[in-house]
Amino acid sequence: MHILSSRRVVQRIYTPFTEDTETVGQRALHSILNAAIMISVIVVMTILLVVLYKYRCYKSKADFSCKQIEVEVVRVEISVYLVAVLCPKGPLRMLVETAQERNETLFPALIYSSTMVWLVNMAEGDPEAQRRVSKNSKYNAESTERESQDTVAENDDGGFSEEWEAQRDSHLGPHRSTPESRAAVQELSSSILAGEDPEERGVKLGLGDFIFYSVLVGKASATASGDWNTTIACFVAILIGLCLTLLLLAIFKKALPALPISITFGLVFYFATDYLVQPFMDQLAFHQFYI
Amino acid sequence: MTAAVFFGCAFIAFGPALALYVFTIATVPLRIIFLIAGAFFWLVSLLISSLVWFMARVITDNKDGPTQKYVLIFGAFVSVYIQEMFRFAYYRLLKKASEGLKTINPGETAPSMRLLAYVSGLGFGIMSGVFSFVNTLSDSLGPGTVGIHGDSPQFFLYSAFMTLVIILLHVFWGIVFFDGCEKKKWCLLLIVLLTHLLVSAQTFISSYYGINLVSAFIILVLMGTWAFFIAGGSCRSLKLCLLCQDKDFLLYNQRSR
Repeated sequence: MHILSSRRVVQRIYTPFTEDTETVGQRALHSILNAAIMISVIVVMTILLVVLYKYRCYKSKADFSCKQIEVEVVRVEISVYLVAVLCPKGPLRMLVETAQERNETLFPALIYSSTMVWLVNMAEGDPEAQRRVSKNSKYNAESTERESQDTVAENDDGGFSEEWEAQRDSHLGPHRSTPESRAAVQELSSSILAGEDPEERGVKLGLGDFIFYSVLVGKASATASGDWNTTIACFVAILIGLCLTLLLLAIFKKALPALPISITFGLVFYFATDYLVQPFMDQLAFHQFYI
Repeated sequence: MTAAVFFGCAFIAFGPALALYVFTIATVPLRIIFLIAGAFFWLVSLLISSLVWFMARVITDNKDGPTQKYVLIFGAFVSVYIQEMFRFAYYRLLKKASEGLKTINPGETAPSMRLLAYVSGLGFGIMSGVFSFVNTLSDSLGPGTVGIHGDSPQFFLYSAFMTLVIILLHVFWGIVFFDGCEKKKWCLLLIVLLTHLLVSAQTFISSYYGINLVSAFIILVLMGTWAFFIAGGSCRSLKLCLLCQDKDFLLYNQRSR
């Protein structure tokens, strides 16, 4: 069965070096230059974010211009996280430590938190570990309604202004987290954690991680020759990477970067599916064989 | 080649699997994780079999013609074998995970092996179905004519039904396989492997859609009945369930009759 299709090539404005060059070497060089442009933008933006936070250039959580930074930051490539997260003098570690010194919670817009009760049991232990679990890896962007499971818990006020709450409600829709349901969830947890803030329990994941995952899956769907096969393979690989990271979190009980395992799996499966699996499935579909 | 074909074939192929997911798995997060892990194991098995096929193709020097077809058949058989090997590997992993979960949460009941058999079979099935059918499905939206070179115009419908059969068969194979592993009845594993090879082989041997589908459906019904009895079902419980008189089931769903 023969099937014909056509493809379109899109050139993005922020990656000025074209990838349609003649030799492989030139193409590699252009890719490196494109990546370097994006990495430097991200590093600059991250340092700007930390500087603004350090010198308290924020009035309230609603006024902080997350959106402008988000528009720049959202076009990221993957390797920048080495500078931002792992470097001891890096900007994000400074951000986390400054927030810890001031004993403040980080912007709710930068972190996704889940208070699923069964995960609490996996990370049971000292409250100190719980506090450290909450200050996790990458931070960026405002929360996306894609991940809105209605269990996002919050403090009584937590410094949220009325406008921010109205904005959140318009994004998420009416959410079912009431003081009664939160009290019920607190009842269920073990006695060690009984006195804990609901925000501190459960697993927290930086929203920047979601952005990186989305970028990888989006890239797979846009440019891979395997079309849907590659996209789905990347999707499943990233989910499994996240599961393994959560498992490691339960074992080591301290803050971990959420990216490396997921992105490694995602990349491995991206290339493997594109170059190995896709021709195989293509041939099988052509001959109408089923495995 | 219209939206009607797209939606029709999509729901034929994935409807039952989606229903099973929504009603039995989506409500319990742990089962979702086991489902995705099962899908991942199938994916890894496919990766390894693609690698084997690729190497075989390189060894036979990439010539076109009947050699490539035999290399493909070899690759498909190897793939079936590797899939069953990974099903066994997933069984071993689930066994260890069950014991681990019991030590972490002594109060909560860990999922039973039968439930995990069903979930893993569904994971394998969904991934297998998606990988075989989704590209064909996306092509069915675009402009085109089916069978313009003389092939059958029922291509999409046939593919959708075959995908449905494969997904459900994976569920039943999972149940039978895990039961064989639990009770150490290795002949059950062999039977699962042989039926899988049989379903796969008949797609190579015969290119008549009708015969393929009918025999695949017969195997599906047989495996389904067998899996039902292995999972603990009986004629009496089936009758009670169909007539809505099964008290345990009704209590569980909080309905009264």
